[in-house]
Amino acid sequence: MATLRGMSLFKKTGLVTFCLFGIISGLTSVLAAWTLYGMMTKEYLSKGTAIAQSIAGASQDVLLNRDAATIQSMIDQYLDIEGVAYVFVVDADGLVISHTFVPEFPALLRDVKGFRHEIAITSLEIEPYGRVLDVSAPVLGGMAGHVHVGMGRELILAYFWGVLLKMQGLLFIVFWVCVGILYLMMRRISRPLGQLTDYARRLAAHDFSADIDIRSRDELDVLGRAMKSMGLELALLFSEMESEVGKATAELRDNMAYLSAIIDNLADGLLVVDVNGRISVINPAMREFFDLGDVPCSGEFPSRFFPVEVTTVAERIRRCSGEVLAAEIPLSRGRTGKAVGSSIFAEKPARQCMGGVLLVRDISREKELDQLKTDFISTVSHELRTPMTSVLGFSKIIRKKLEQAVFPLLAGQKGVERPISQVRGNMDIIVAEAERLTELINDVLDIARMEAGEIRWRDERVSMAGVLKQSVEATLGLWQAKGLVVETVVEDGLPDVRGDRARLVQVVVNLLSNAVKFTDRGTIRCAAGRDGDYVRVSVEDEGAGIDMDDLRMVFDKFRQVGDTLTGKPEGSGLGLPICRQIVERHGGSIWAESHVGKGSVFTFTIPVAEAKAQSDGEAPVAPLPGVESAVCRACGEVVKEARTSPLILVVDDDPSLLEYLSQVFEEQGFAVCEARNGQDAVAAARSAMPDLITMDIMMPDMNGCEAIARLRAMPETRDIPILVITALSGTEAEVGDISLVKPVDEAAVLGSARALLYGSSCGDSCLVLGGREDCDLDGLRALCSGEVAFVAPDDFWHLVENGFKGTVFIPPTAADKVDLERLTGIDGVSAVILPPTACDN
Amino acid sequence: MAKKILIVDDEVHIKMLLEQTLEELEDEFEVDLYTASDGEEGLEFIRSKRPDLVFLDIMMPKMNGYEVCRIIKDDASLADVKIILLTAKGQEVDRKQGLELGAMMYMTKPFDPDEILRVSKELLEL
Repeated sequence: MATLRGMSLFKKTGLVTFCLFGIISGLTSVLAAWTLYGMMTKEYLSKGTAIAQSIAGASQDVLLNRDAATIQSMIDQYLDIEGVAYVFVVDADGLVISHTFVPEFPALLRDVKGFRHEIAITSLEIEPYGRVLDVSAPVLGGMAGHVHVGMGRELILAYFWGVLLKMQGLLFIVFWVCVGILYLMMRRISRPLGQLTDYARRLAAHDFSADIDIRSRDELDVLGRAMKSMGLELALLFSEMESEVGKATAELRDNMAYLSAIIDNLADGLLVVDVNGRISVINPAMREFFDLGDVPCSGEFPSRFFPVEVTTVAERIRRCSGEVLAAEIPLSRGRTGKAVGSSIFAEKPARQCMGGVLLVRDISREKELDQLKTDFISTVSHELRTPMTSVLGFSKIIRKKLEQAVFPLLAGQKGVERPISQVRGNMDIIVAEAERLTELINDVLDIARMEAGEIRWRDERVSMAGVLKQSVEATLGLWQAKGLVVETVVEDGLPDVRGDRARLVQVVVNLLSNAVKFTDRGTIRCAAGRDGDYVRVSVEDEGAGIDMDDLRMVFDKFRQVGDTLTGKPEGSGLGLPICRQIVERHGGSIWAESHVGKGSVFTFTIPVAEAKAQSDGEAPVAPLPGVESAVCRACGEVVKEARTSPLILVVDDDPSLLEYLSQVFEEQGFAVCEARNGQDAVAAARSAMPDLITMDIMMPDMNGCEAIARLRAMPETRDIPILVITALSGTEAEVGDISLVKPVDEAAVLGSARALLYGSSCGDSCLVLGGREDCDLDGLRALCSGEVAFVAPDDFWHLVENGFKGTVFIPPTAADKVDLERLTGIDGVSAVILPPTACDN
Repeated sequence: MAKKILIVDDEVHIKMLLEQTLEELEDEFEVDLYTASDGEEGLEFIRSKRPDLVFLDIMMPKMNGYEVCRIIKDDASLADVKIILLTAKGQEVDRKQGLELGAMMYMTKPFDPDEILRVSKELLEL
């Protein structure tokens, strides 16, 4: 079948040949038969004419004599001639004299008239002779009659068909002989073609064992040879290629084995994720870190096996940000690991991200050592404090006693001036050095605690301008003593940063005091400006400058600039490392530039508060390590002893008012912590023990009244003064010590707060609505240091709206009779609703 | 009536330092100074003599400062005794603990003698 289908070309040729041959043979045989037919007809006609003329010639006399019998015998002999169907003779009158018809003369012929002088030929159809050509010849020009001879045409037709059939038969045989010959020839061509096709096909299927043998000594032979040599060439190439590939594969396999052996034997855990975030490679160390055993991990999401710290890093590195991430992660069995992750980029063919790779190292031992070191440092520091206390304390007492009791006694005696001044100087040195030693111990403890993560960092909005101002003021004594000038330049519209204000002040103070230490004269420039998403602060001095080699080490612990053996070290050498700790904890960086002899610039950056929130819009801002993010001014850490200023707990559910009040108090130097509902407020009050609480009344979870009731019920919080700031007026607001009605102005809030904190002045003058007899004057005096005036309800509005500035006290009974909104709208007037105890009705 | 100040510390030098510092008050005002060398002794004195102000060390043998503090706080009759915790410890936890236990103040060593004087005057309302 395959060969047949393959030879469709030959089939087509055969078919066309067959058709052409058929047409040609048909036409040829028809033409030949037709020619024969014409010629035979002519032959018959001439035969008939000859017979008729011969009869006519011979029958003239007979006819005239009307010897019918003679004529009959004469014509009868012509019947034997081939093709003659009948003969008859008619006389001039048309009567049939004799005929050869049996049994009777056909009627049809009676109408056939001969022409007098000519031979006439008529085609007739007479039974039983069929089609007949009637030839009539006149006898004596028609005078004696006519002779008719009928020549049968059937015979001619029979000849015609006979010839036709014979020719067709012959041609048919010739055709099949030709087909046979052609087929044989076709086979001769098609077989080698088939072989070639087969060979080519096997070559295509990489079967180089195939052979081809064509011996036709023609073009096919040449083609066959060419193909064979091509096949051999291919086979050679292929085997070469195969060996090359084999070699390369083996090499690759070796390499792979080498690499996978490296990966499998890494002491660090390795995890590779693809761009879809699925695990593609994981090594045994990693499995061991997380106790995964032989669980199949490839193709799975890391979240199935790893804690969130790992998946967070994995998720970030597979997004191809290009950053290098590091995180501390918990491993199984209480171990701690450090994960470092980066994205994988393929450089060829085009730079393309292929996911991320994460290396995990077990740092439990390091952590342990670090912890031991930290514990040791802090223990040593603590133990150092006790003797230091004695040294410093007694030095100061000795100095004081000498000044107060001893030196005056010796004054005026001969030869004691010099020893006295020496003793005085020596005591000063002892005190100064003891103080420096104390500072060093404090610094050591500070940095040890920072490194141990023991410090709680506040996370609040901080104005860098404020930080600079405070720092410059704090170092005032230092730089003024040396006759230096500190210049502060703050860019306009500098955004706030987020962080721990006190710690940022510590950084700037440190940089400033360093600058002062190394500068003998000139200006110290302290500048703050915006730098992209950061606020940049720099402290520039015109001092000695720092050597390039030293510059690299200034942020290292216990590094003193200069030769520590010969040079006199100043400070603990921990100031800058502490600065670095603080700045890095805030997500910023710190560096120094310097030219020896020209001065140094110390610069640090802190991320801008808004920019941080915007850029990480979708994801919540990761809090600084160790920072409580929920409440900006967390109350937990602000403890009474640590405070230099009174602590105010601000309670309000409205974040903007909370922020406003906090800022108002902070600007005045109060320490502030916040709570957003009654429950938090009670908890915060108990833990932080604030000096004052400002309380909103309408709050979710636990309202202000209930919170105040709870605070009053507990002995430790019973005495904390409470300033109620509420939109409500009347009885509900009377639970605190003082009530202010919203909207409140800054002066009123601060005045009331001061009144409660210090039991004094809440304004220059005080006005009490109602009569003196109604009120407990002592209570009012506690709130108002200034003049206390009493006014009758009738004169009240006239007075307040005509220049009165100060605080108006309203007894609870009158609270709902007074338009408080109108009252608080007046400039310089604040309204206070007195608690029921203040006025006794 | 003379005000009573009690110093409780196991460190002889610290005790001396505080004594010498507060001697000034003794001269100037009617103040009597007493000392105790450990928590138990201190507590005994507090219970029997009811001092107005106590400088209390935390790390002491027999009974530490926290315990003394707690006992005083729980005893309603001793509510008027003001306590200043004095210690070399400086961690947040300790401060919080001390204040929760009812100490008026918390001072870390080394302290400034002048500061001690100032605070004492303030608390004794002198």
